[in-house]
Amino acid sequence: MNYLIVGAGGIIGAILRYIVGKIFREVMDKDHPVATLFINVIGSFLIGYLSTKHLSSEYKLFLMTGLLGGFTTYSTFMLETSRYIKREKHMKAFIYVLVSIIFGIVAAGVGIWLASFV
Amino acid sequence: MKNIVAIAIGAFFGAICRFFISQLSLGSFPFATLFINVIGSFVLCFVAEITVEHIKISTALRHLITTGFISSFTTFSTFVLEIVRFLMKGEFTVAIVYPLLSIVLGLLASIFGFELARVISERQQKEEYEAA
Repeated sequence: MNYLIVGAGGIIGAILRYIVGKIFREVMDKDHPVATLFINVIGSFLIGYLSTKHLSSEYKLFLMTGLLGGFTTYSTFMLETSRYIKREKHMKAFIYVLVSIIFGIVAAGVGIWLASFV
Repeated sequence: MKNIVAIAIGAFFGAICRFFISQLSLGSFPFATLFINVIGSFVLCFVAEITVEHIKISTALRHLITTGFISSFTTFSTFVLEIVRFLMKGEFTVAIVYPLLSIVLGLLASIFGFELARVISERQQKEEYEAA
């Protein structure tokens, strides 16, 4: 049963990721990994927020493991970074990685902090 | 619509596979997430490269594998939450080693995926050229 809950969350997360990516691609040029950055930072904020909330284990599996796990992505983040490296854009690769991780950590931290009174 | 269905199918199994592997984890170091993210990075880059060059697959199947399965299999939010938990526990060494290891191994795996796909494509092209 837990597997189905996680799978269902994964479906919703992935479709949301696809829609957000599509919106970003229509607004700006295709090469920018801003969509992935946005998705990963928002997802980090939400997982931080939910992590300290008292929810049933089913809800946590659905929202955190399934939905947010499926919404955010590490593989695309790595694909985009290694494409920068392949094109010798080392500075861009470095900044992208640094910004993703720092913003992700800060977002999760803000989520945890916010969860303590909202 | 076809793409959405393909992504849904891929994501369902991607998330389930991640959950299955995460339950095998022992100890406090998040080896499961590290393994998932590194393997996923390799597979995504391999598939992205090989389907551009040599193996032609439909857009829907491509979405099922990449946008659906692999992107849902790997995760950034859990990765970040694990780092934050180490920071909150005051385990700063792990909080630095874990992301560093994830990035270095993830990038090596990605580049290996790209290169492997390129080598396979080139070999196949050569064989076709010689056969012609």
